[in-house]
Amino acid sequence: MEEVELESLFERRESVRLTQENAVFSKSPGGLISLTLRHPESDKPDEFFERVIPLRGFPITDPEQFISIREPDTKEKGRGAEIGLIYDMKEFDQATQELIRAELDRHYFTPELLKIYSVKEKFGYLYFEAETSAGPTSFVLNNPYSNFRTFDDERIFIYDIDGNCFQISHPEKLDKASYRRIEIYL
Amino acid sequence: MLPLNTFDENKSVAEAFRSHGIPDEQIYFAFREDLTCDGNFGEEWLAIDQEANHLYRYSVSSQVFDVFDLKDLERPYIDNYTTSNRLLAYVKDENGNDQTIVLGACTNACKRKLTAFLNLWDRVTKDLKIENDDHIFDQFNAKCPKCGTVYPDQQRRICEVCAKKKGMLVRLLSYFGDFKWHFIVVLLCLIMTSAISLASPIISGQILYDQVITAPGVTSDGSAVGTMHEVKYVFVFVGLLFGLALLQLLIGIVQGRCNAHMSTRVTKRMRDDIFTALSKLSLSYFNKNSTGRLINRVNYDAIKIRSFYIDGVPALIIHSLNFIGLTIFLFSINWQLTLIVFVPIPIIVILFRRMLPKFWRSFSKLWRRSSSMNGMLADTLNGARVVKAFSKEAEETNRFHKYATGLYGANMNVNKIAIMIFPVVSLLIGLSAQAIWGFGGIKVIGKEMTWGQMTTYLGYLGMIFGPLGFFSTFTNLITDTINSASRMFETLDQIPEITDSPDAVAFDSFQGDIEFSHVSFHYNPSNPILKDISFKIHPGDNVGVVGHTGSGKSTIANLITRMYDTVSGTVYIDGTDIKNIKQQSLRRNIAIVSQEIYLFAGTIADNIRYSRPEASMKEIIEAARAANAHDFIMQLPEGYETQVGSGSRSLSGGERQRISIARALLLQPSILILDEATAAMDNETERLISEAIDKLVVGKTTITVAHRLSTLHNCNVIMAVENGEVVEMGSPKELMEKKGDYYKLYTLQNDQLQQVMAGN
Repeated sequence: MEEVELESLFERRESVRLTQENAVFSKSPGGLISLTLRHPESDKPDEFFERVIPLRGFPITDPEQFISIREPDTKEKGRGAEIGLIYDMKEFDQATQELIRAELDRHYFTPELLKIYSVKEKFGYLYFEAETSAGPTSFVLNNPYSNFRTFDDERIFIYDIDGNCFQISHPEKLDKASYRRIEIYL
Repeated sequence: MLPLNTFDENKSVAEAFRSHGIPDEQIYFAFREDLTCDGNFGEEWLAIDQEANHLYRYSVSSQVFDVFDLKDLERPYIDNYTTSNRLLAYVKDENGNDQTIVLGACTNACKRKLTAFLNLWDRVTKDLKIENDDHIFDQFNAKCPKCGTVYPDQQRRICEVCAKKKGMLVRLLSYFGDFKWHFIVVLLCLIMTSAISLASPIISGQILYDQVITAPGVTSDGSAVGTMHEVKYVFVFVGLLFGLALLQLLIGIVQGRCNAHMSTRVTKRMRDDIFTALSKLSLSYFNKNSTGRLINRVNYDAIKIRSFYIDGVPALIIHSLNFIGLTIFLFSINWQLTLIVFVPIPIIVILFRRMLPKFWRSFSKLWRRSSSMNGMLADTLNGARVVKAFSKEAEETNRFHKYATGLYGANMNVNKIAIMIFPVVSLLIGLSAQAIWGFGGIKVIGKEMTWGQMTTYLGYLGMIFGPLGFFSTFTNLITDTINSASRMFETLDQIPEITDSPDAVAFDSFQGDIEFSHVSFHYNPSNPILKDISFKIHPGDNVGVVGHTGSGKSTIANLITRMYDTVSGTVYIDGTDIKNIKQQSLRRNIAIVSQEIYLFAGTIADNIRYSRPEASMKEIIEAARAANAHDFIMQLPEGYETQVGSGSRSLSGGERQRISIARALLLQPSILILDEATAAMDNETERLISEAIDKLVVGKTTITVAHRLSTLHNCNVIMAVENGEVVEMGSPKELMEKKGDYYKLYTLQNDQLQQVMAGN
């Protein structure tokens, strides 16, 4: 086997640390994130990615740090390979932070429960009517005792029958009536 | 309109489409999303017309109507996120570059439909005709396997017909149905106990004291006292009291025996039911629920429920009877004094109401902490090998210390609250006792009341707080029981995901023809494992499946044996949809040796025989020989009778694999699936086994999943799986010429070999 051919067969993108210096994020016409990656240390030309996907390393405890920036997972555009890693969102300007955060919030869609209008039990299932940060909605829980997850910082995650997730970041700030409706399941 | 989503669900949408000049008949199929493109909850519709020229998008909330030319939308795909999904496609910008645009979004609730929508879109652009009875719609017509009713809400498969109509407590009582007589006896015992305890203070106070001990006379209200002022009556009534105490003891014994009889049987029956229900459930249930939790359910929950009925319910009855009886007696003796007794009751009730939620909360915290400590213990002890390997004993001790401290804290909290409540309660009780002594004393002196009546009063006063204390903790007991019961019924009501359809066919054996048609699968909606794969395996093929870790190879194997049902698409064996083949036939004729090997506690022979208990010793030895296990088994001191399984003799990974291969071969299957079955063996052993298998399964279909190409040396078909898709399939020669994934793997492994030979 010739060396050259083998090398090219197993070529893999080297993930880099992304900073203000080497990464320029912009909003694509389709409303998604594009990335221009510079290679200041080598003479490689700039790379342009029409669409990149941000992923959180620690979505629950540290949503603002260690954000992996990847190519989409489609047949044509790489297989979701990592382009680079943002160590801390704070290293980027406000506009970039907001752009990436908006996309991340989409990905980890966990609406905040603002008000719980009603919780009805029927045949062992719990039917919720609630106001969330993403608008009014209703959802169903199959076993309330195992689908409430409480964290050390008091945060509550509620997983519904479809696999969707809702959160209450500050249970103590929830109005009394709403809190009373879920209290017994905590 | 195809039966995906139709405008019948929301007439205003049909209206909106008509107002844009698109009548219903022109729509081929439509899909309703529950998220708007900006990521908020809201209703949006996507629709494709009959000619497959346009994609329409209509937002119900903002009433925006978009029209896309289907030709402009290239390579549409779905992004699966943790809890939401987006449909995207490429369009060309003015420079001819790809531009990604978002077409729609939905939560996991409509994910299946989104996937189906994309599949239909793909097919219409290929000019394929789709009928209303297309297989893809089957998943939206799922029926309750118990009663056959189509689920009213396909996304949320809740069968309201089969759902428990009876209340949980009533349903629990049905466990006691066979013990009607026991129950009646217990009830009679309870009523008698209550009557005796109510009568005793009257006998000792108003009769023994007022009529016997007191000298004859008349009270201020004119009733006579001391009517039986003779020594013989002292004996009669003291004897009566003694007799009643004895009777109460006897009743207690009868009741205890009845209870013991009922409770052990009821617990056994509950456990049997839970275990039977568990063993019927599909593999996916066991993936979702940890073993510890399930074991707890079989053991602990049944006991909890039993104790509610054996200890809780009788106590409730006796306390209720006592309370009612007491109230009547007390009021009939002296209503003013009774009011004094009742004054502290509201205070106590308020106190309990205020403090109990706090008490429960700290109690549930205590429970959580103790279970997390148990979890930590199990975790560390199971991982003892790793703990030692990294010499983390001190850290683990510290970690345990932290959990133990947490538990201690929670315990303290509970006790602190308990310490707060109970002294206050006893103080209140003490106060009312003193009030009775005071007011009662005045009344006795004023001859408004006899001394005997007052002692009866004091006797009853002690009894009235018993029921109160019990009622306030009873709610706690109920919540506890409801928790346990809901867990138990959750298991009992769980409908196995995989069931035999009523017209399922039994097969004696298979030809070995396997076909996957547009199969998609995921364990978790946000992480698709197989994406719309189709392939065909012919009888007698020896198929090698290669691909990266996590590419979906093992999932293909699991779907063939119907360990899981496909999310969409169909798997056929010998041309029959496997959902229409009896599971018994599938499992009898397809043997799978998976990466996860489990040896049950028992002998090696038992473990090999597990697949076919009626097999003879000779057959077991033949199977073991084919699996190249015979030699090492014979070397063991107890041969085939060596005990294996947890806690017994430990076998090496390769030895365990060989036993599980023997187990599979003993089944003499029509289709054999080896899922990394020889990964832990050296190449020579692997070669020996594969040759033995080849001899045994001549003309039968074999599927071998492997990383090492050497494992696949005599496969006639190679299938390369990548990222949930079949990227290549063909004979090894064809694939070498194609220079794709298989070629890459071959080159890599060949190169490694070359390097070893060259001494690098």
